[in-house]
Amino acid sequence: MHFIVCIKQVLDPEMPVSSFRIDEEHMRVIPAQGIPPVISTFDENALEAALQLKEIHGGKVTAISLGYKLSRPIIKKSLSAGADDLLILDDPAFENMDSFATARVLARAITRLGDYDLILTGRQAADWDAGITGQALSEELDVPCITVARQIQLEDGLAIVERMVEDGYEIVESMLPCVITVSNDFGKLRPITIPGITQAKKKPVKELNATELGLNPVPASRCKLERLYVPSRMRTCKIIEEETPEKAGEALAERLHDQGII
Amino acid sequence: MLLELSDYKDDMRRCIRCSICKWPPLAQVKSLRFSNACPSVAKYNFHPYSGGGKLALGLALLEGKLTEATDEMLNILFRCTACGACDSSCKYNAEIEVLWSIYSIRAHVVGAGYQLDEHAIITDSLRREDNPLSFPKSERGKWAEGLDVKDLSKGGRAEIIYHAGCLSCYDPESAAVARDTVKLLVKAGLDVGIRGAQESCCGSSAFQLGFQGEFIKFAESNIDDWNAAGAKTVVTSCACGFGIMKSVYPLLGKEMKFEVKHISEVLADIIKDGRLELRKNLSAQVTYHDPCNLGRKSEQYVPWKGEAKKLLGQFIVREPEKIIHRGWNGIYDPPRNIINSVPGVILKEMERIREYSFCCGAGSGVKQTMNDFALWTARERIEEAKSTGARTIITACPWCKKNFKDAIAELEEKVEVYDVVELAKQAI
Amino acid sequence: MVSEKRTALIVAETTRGGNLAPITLELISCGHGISKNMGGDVAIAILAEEIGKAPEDAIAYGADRVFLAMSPILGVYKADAFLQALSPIIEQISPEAILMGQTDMGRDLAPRLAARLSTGLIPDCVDIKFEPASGSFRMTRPVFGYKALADFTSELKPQVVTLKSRTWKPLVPDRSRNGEIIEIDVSMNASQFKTRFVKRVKEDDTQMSLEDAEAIICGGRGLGDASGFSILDELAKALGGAVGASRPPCDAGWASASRQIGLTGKVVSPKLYIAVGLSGSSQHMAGCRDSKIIVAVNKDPEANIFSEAHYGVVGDYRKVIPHFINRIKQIKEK
Repeated sequence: MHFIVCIKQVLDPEMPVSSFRIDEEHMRVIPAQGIPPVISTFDENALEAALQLKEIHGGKVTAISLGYKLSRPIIKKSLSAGADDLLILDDPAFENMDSFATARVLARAITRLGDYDLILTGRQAADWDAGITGQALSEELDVPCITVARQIQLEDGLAIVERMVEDGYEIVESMLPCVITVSNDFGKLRPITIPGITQAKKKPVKELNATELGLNPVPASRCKLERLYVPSRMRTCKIIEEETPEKAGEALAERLHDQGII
Repeated sequence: MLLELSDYKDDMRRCIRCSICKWPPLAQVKSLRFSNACPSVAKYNFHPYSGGGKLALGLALLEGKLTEATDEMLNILFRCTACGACDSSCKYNAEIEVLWSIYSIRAHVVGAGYQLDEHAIITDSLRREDNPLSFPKSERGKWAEGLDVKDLSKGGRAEIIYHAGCLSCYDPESAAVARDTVKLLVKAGLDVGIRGAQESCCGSSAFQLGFQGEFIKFAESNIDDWNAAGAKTVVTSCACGFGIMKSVYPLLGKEMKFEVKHISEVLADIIKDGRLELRKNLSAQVTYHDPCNLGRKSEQYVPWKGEAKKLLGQFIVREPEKIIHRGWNGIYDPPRNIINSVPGVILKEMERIREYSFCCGAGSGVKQTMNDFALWTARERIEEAKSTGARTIITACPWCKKNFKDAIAELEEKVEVYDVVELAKQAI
Repeated sequence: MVSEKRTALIVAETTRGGNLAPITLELISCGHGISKNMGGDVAIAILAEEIGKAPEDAIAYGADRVFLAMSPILGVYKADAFLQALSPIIEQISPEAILMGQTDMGRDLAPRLAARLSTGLIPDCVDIKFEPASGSFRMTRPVFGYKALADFTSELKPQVVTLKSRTWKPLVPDRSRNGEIIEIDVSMNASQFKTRFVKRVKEDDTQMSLEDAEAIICGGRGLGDASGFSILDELAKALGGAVGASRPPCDAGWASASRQIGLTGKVVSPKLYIAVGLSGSSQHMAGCRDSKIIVAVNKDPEANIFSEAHYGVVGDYRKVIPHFINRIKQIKEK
């Protein structure tokens, strides 16, 4: 079976709050020193899903990453984790595409890869949080799409998916091939090991740019970003201070009672 | 952010390639055999591996003359234990902040997305399990099972918090030393507690490798935990941790309501005022290895920000005055005092000691990711130890001890390595 | 077919029994505001198997035209079926904007709908305005884990948006309002779709739902381990509230995923929200910022939660909370 995983490089969503700064003029986040970019969290869950399915059903896992000036060590972590080959789509034209344009470029690259059984990606990217690309990709490829999966089984040409809903979960079936977006409830990506890193060095990495994909210029973004800013929060917290934490706990109860909250 | 490469532009520009970073202070060089300060350039014999060489790389990156970091460049930047010997030597001549420039170059390169694949294992492990060694967090407290000491993770207070450090929690030999350490402290009547399973890494490997973001999270969390526990003193066995806690933690701008001490300081004190008596005669010739992070790297670092003016077109005058950190104020005497308090033990000093001590080879991730280089450096140091006539090396850092022992096992030498705490315990 | 009016189309969510879900009332309220600015009206598409008072309620709460598509296959949300049922409605109305909630359904359906219509989508909007000068919408949404806000405009029509729940207040129902109810012919059978809904399973119902609780105690990574939640359970009992969790405790298995509050979890706005051992990351605050009173207990005086909370205690929660609980019990006994 052929599993395709789409992984996106993002600025670390877990960077300390003090390092998050925005360049309002250029409408972008300023990358901070000493904080490397990472593979988007939910994409790592998707990669874990692909690797688990490969362990059960055999086949290969192809990782695809799209962007501009991608960090090869960061993206190649997918190979160290166990993916079999990697396709890097790196081009200045790819830098500011929206999810729909991204989906179209990914779809073009995927059709060039030949046959596939399942495309996996994260439910949303850990930077822009839109959650659009997976579904848009399914529309581009005209295949079904199941979102926020936390468990996937494959049987007789079908994907049987347990997906998260508000008060529990749903079980949905889809014919293959299809797109499945994966949620963090699926489980974390396995730890990287030294043998994994050594094997990764021998795995094939292909690179394509926009022209080679026949998509130069890329599709225009459907919405226009007008402003990116950090909202100012005006809330002053009343800190309850006492000599000991135990006394502070009691004082807190009394204060809330005085204010009619308890 | 603590590490901004542009802050060190002037430092990097002023390197004139005098090469003093490769040698100990010339007045202290006693023989040709042991005249290297920098393990990296001693082994690889290529200028970029030295302190000044890395500064040249950093300047090129900052000025845009190099636009990407190749594998070879990453190799040069990370095949270095960040021992600070280059920094200490340079301060005799040019007063350039070599070590912090190296930290900043690493942070710069890491922020741009370059890293060694092996470092991903360290950072992943820090994120998931709160330690750089890929051991599970759930087993963090196992080293203290059965130990009669306050476990602060269950509530309660103590005057002193003992921070064991990641290696002591997970490596059986170091754990045994940690247990002995706690027993000694309790025996001397000190009100000491441990955080058991809730202890987490000091963040020193993250900081030294350039992963500032990770480091800040660990450092701030530790400071908060120790503040909240109400302790007056934090005592640690981890020399790397001690060095970073003293030199970098204060720079985060968080109030530290406690003092940080190394176990050798506390032990020296309680021996001096008689709370612990060393009576057994051990009759041995030993030498002492000064760990980098306990010695020159534990001086508190104050980044200088001000104006540098040139007098007469030549002499640089700084306003406000810049404090030069030469490493003279590290912890050198307490371990020596402990050794000298043991009856029958004679201390023979090596040639490269105190702030110009030669690194053991394990620091800043080198032991975990480039063991061959770590062992080479250890062998060099063991040779020096043997040259004093001593067959026992005393040190005060679990990483130094581990690296020496690995090298000795490989060489099948008849040299023994002990932590200074073990020495004291044997003499009770 | 070009419509004379500018219409905001709402895609309704219904509950079992065929009534409108609360999010739908919020959507209608937003649509109402937009349609006033556009000089247009509000249409709502209700896709369901059975409808109770949904159409009448929709009109009372502000809709002008109600399009009903009924089929047993539409009884439970399925993307393929809903896309097919919406298609003739959208063609008939040719709306300026299509509104859904940032809910299970909206998150799944809106991107596919926008892709199919070759139009743009702004998800998780916290603000949307129609600008008469340009004839387009200006939309604001949180990005970067809720650390920043982004404003967007677009020229493509219809503009698809999903709205963040509990951001717009439903209008006061006016039973005297008039509106049109139009039934759309829908004939579909399950075999034409490549996906099949099997079943839905409810999980973790031992406590009251987070959305209904008036007091919520939420635990974060700072709890240290799973045992911290037993202290929070006690506090919840003392206050008659529910216990939630931020993402790290759920990922670590200390709490079940259905308790997760935040950007990819539940959005709540109780009267009292007590955050324990919680740093207050923006991803989490996305789920609880609109709570009436926020109280924080954290060992880190500079934790972000203190810039969001109304009251706070800096200290070890294992020392603070038990005494907090005792005092509450004493107060309640009086």
